[in-house]
Amino acid sequence: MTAASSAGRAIGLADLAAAVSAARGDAILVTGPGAIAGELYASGPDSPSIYNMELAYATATAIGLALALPERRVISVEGDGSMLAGLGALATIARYHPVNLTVVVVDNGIFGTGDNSVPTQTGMGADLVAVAVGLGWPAASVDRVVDRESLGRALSSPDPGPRLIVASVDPATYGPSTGRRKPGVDVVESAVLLRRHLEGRTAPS
Amino acid sequence: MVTTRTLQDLDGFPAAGTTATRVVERMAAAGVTLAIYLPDSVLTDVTRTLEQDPRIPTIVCTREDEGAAIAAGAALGGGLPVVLMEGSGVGYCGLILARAQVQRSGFLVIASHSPALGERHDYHAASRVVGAAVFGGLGIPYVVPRSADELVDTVGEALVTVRGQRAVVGILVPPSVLT
Repeated sequence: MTAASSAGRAIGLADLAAAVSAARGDAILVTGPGAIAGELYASGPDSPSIYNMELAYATATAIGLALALPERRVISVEGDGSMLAGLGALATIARYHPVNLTVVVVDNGIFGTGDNSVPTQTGMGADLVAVAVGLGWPAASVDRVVDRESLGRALSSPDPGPRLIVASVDPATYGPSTGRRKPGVDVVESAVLLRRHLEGRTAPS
Repeated sequence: MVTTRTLQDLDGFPAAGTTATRVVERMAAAGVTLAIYLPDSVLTDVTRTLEQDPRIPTIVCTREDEGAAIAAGAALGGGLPVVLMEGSGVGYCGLILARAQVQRSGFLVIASHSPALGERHDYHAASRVVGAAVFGGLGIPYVVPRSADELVDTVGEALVTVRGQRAVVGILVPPSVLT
């Protein structure tokens, strides 16, 4: 199998970002590193978000936000490579089940960097849905989505969380890492803007 | 044993009680909202006391850097978190501690072992040096308390700095201080 295989992966990266932004409402977003951060910023630039959290830590950071803000929905979005690097967070969610947390894994089967030619372990057969169930997630709380319609349904599910959505994203929709969209705020600005948002303050003009 | 009465003790915090209960009392008084930990022999009394205290929710993480990331998220959400771990765990935490410092989502790290004081066991050789190395390399201020009283005061004062400066602060606890 090559890293560029799109078999079974039909969701475009921009479509995934648009679907998350359309469904998030007032949810706080934490993104992992890579192309998804810029795509999500482009589809919802004025919403409270932490972009480009370091590899392996987007979902763990989202756990902390969800626990600190139990009345607020929190969504983490990170790639399969990042999720594999931070799998412990999925076990911690299964143990403490913060109901206001949704985890979206951008499962494109590649490390989305450089020329995108190196497959991740999910690109070589690892199944994050099975892993999550093995870590203690109820099967009913975990969705594998393979197209825009099922992604939209999963994101708008009325069922209480936590929820895990493993989205099969077409790696062919990734460009090379140079020239990608980037968030219009840096990692410091996004943290300040989130804090101001939570405190009910607006950013100075 | 000579017990030093500190300004904080005279100011309303009891000098009596176990060191662990005094540490947790100081955390509660400072407004700690969440404690995340991975079990460790030196810090066992503190984490056990935290688990029994309804004022401070506790989370057991799978690895220390995950715990630090949870703390960073809780800080971003307006909380005042504490992470407790063996010193070895600080070695895993370099990247997320750096991110927390950069984006000013501060929290307190209490880690066991220090480079110089009371380290009997060869298997703590890496644990005793990595904490100070990571904190020092990242410019994270840290303190090595020499006594139980000093630990209690340090926790209270460090939490003032965490909140006031939105910074990560470390405390490296020599084994003799708590065991």
